[in-house]
Parts: sequence; structure tokens; C-alpha cells
Amino acid sequence: MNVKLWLAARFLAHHTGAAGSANPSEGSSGASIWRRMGLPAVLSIIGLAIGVASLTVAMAVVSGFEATLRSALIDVFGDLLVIRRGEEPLTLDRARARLKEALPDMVGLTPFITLEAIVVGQGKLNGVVIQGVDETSVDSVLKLRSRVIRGEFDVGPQEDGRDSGGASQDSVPHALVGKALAKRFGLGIGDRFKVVIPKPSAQDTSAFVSSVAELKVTGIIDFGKSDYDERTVVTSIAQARRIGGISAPFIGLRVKLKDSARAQQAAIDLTRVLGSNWWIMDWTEGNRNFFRAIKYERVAIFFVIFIMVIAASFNVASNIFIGVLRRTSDVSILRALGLSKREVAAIFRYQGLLFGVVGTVCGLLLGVCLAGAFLWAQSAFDLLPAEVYKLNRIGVEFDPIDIGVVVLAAIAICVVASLAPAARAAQLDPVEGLRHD
Amino acid sequence: MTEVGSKAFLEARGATKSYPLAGGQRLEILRGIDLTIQKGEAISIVGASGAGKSTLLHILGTLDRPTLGKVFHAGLDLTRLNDDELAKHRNQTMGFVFQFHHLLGEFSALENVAMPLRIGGEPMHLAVKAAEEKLVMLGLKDRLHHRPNELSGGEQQRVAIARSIVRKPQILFADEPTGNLDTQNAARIQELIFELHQTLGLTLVVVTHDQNFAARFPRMLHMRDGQWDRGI
Repeated sequence: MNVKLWLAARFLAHHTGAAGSANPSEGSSGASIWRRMGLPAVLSIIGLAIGVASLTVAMAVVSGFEATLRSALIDVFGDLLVIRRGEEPLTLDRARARLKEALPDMVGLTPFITLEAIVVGQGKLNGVVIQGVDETSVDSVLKLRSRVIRGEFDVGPQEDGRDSGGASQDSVPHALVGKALAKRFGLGIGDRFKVVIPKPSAQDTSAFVSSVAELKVTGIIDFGKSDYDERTVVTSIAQARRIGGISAPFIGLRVKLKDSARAQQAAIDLTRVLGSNWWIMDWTEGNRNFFRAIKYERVAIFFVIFIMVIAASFNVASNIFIGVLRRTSDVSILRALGLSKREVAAIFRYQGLLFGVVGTVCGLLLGVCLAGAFLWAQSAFDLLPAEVYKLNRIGVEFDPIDIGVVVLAAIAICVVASLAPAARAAQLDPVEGLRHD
Repeated sequence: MTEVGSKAFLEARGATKSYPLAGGQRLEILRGIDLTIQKGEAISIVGASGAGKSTLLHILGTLDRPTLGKVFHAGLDLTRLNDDELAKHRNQTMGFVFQFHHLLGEFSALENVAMPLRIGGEPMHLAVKAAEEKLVMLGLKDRLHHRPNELSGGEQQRVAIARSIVRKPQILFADEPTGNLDTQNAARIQELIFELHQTLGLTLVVVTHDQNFAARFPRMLHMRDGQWDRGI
């Protein structure tokens, strides 16, 4: 080990006692390291750890918020939504071929139908979107199956008359409903509910005629986003066509890309290749400003909380200053043994580094614990009102880049804090510490 | 840096040390001291408290710089070296023993003795090996891993002496090496210093209040008010 680092570590581990202490209990190897370091040094480390922990948790929650939102959107929306405009019907095979050609990184594709409808029952009305999905291909794009919290992912008969699973053969269309919708109408597995589908009147375009359909609940889904939970009903594409009286086999396609982060660029590329007859949306659309705001907020939150770390670094600086003053005699003898001024300064800079490393490691551990507590508190208490945050639960995500920036910034600020005391140590007159008469 | 300015092994020429006082006055600690010491010579410097003997030792040992005058070691003008060069020179050629042992309290006897070698860039295992040899030589085989506060005053000073010679210095400076010891331990340390001078061929410069100890040196110098009193 480098001799200066060796000295710095040993001096820090015995921060309370000056060299040659007459008190045998001081510097005793039996005492705990925290006790030997002394309360002021330990408090400095705690202060730094709290700052680093706050920074870590804040960054993890912001990242978690972003990731939770992204996951909720992508799981339910897919990476891209592609709709062919115009009257000409499009077969699935032709559409797949066109998209595969235009998007070499496409890894999944599923057709869909959406219908706007109103759920009625118990004297209540609720506007919903009925999603007709193709059960054979939906899992290659959406992650609905893993979001089922009760019942099973049984959307009823498919286009060719196949049944999707273990559900009964009854003629009532099967559907999965968002958990908030289920709660609002008191729906459980096996319950039936009615939906009203408004359609434009053939005689008068300003008027609507409505048809009513009954659906049977086979599963309840947690979409992860409160507006989806309140407004989504999922059924098979065949049933959606039947309920909505739609003749086209599907109205659009949902696409999964190898890298969801590329969706925005892929949408631009696809629009350029396919032309204006195609309407293409990526998953960020409608939330772009929100994601941009998160990006800016992340930077702002980092700097605001970093002020805590800066404040803690002043404690570190004063502790090292105290150490320098206490160690006048040690510094003098080290100078006599051949340590230069620059090397003496380096010892105390290393102390800043060690304070930073120890405080940062403690802070990261504390941050992980606090993040765990945050997750627990979310489930134990209603910390996030869904109507405000639009998310039921925020995950925490430790982004390696965020952690790296926090670690480097905290350690760097401690080293900077040690510069003044280190310079003071270098200026100590060795003769002063050796004087005896 | 390699300028040859003196044929003596260690030489002070007109070494003066003074500090400014209020009102433009200066406090004179050393007043133009001249001193020539030959290689392998052993000298003692005596004088009353405040005579300037420790200051002279610090200047000869490069721990302090003279306000005026020059110090040469083996022809090298030490007053022209920068701090890094002086530190390196001190580490390679000089050893120090002080009245108070000035051992580092957080380090064992072995680590304290290894310190000059570690500072000189020696790897830990070699430094520790050499330190152990010296401690065993000075009868501290059973005290290798003891901290300074677990050693007696005599043992602490022997550790300090082991530390001062572990890097095989050319000159050993001792500032009141027995001043803090009882009579029995003081006698043992005095014997040890003379023995090391004999066996290692060190040049020895000792500052002491102890007239009897000083009188045992082949050359004894007296200081008063920052100047030589007699005997030079």
C-alpha cells in the first residue's frame, strides 16, 4: 500500500488520539473502529452518508418512476401502433411483410381492434375502450398476461373459432377488465356486465344508434396506470369485431422492437418508408413532454440534494482540520523521517478520499434500505394517490450511471474539502512539533 | 544541486537564525555559527535552555533553514535544495532521535521502525524485515507488535533509535535523547548510542543538558546566546 494512504487510513481509524497518546485506551486495537475514530468523525461520515443516501433514493425513485411509467405504457401499448388509413382492407400477411421490410429490428407484431364503449350497471356509467387482441400473437408484443391479478388471461373464442383456454364454451363473450373498473362496478371472476357501443347512424351522421352487449369477466388486470385500469376492457379480436359490428379483420397493428428506446426514431423511419396512408404512433407519444420533464427534474433534484452533500463536506473539512492540528507532532516526525510537504498534504487529501469513500459506501447502503422502505411504505400506506400520479405504484431503479455520478460527485467533493486542511498540514513547521523546551 | 562547496563532511558557515519581532526588532537565536564535522566524528553540544543548540541541530538536520549562512553535507549546499530534495536527502542520509520518542501512536514498534524505509519507497515486506532485524538487535524482540503506549520509556526510546538507524544513515542527530528517562534507562541509551557510533561508523551529533554524557564525547561544544562559548 502507498505509504501516504497507509498513514491516512491509520490516522483516520484513530482520529480521536494524537500520536503517542498517554492514554492506553486510546488507539487500543480492541476498541471498535467507530469508537477509535471519535464522535466528530463518525458524525461527519453519518452526515455524508445521509446526503448520499438522499441522493441515491431520489435518483432511484425518479428512475423507478420513469421505468414504471415506461413499462406500463409499453406493456399495454407496444412499441409502435400502426394503422392503415383508407378503405382498402389489408391482410395480416401483407402488413407483416411491409413492416418487416421497413423495420428489420421488429421482433413481434399483433393485430388489434379498439372500440369505444360505455359500461353500465349499478346505476353507473363508465366510458371504456374495448381492446380486441389476437391471443396467439399478443404475447409477442404486449405483456398483459403477466399483469393479470385475478382469474386468467382468457379472452374467448378467436377468429377461427378456437377457444383461448380453459374457459367454458358459453356464448357470452369473455373479457378481462382493469382493476379500477372491476372495483367501480363490483365485478368479480364469472360476473357479467353490459356495455353500450355507440355507432354513427346510417341515416343521420350527427346521431348515434347504440347496441348493447354482455361480457363475462374472466380476469382482472393491473395495467400499472390508473387511467388504463379505469377504462380498459380486453377481449378477443373476433368478439370485438362482433360486438362492434366491424367487418375488417383488424384496424391496426401493434409492433414490438428489439429496443423500445428506438421507438421514436423507428416511427419516423417507418412514416418515411410507408408514406402518408399509414398512421404511426410510438409509445412516447402523448407522454413525450412528461418524459422530458422527468429528465430535467432528475438534474434539478440531483443538484438540490447535492447541496446536502456539500454541507456534509464542510464537516469533513473541519474534521480533517482538527486532525491536522492534533497531529502537529506526527507531521513533524514524518517530515524528519523524510516526508516532503507535498507528501504530507497528500496524506490529508487521502483522508478526504477515505471520508468520501466510507461515507459514500454507507450512504449507498442506507439508500438501498430507504428505497426498500419506500417500496414497503407504498404498499402499507396510500402514498401515491392514483388520481394524482396516474401510477398505482412506483418502483425504484438503481441506474448504474446515476450511482456512478453520485459516487464520483460525493467522493470528489470530499477530496476538494480536504484541500484546505491538507495545505495547512503541508505548511506546518516540523520544528514546532519537535520543540521540547 | 550537486554543487561542491565544502570539503568537510558536515559544515555550517555563518549559520544565523532570527525571527522578526514587533517594532522592527529581530529575535536572534543563532548568531553566525561556524561548525565543521568530519565523517565518523561524534560531537556533543551543550548549553543552557535557549542557547540555540536545538535550533542548530534542526538546521544541520535540514528540518529548519538558516536565515543567513550555509549548510553543507558532503559538499552539497543543503540551503539550495527545495523541499522535496531536502526531504529525500534527509530520508537517505540522516537519522533523528528526540527527547520525546515521537513514535506514531497508531503504529506498532515494527511499523514505526519500518516507516523511514516505507517513506523511502521500500516495499512493506522488506521494510518490515529490516525493521525487525533492528528491533531484535536492540533487544526488543518481544515488543515488535506493541504500540508505543504499551512500551516503557526506555523501550520507546530504543524503538526510536531503531527507527533512526534502520535506513543506514550517515549522520545520527540526537536532541536530548536521555532527557526524559530515569538514570538507569538513560545510561543504557547512552551506551547504545556510543555502541552504534562504533559499530555502524555513524557521524554523531548530540545535543544534551547532561554534562557527564556530553563529556564522554571526543569533542564537546558549548553554546551560549546563539554563539559558541568555548571548546570549538
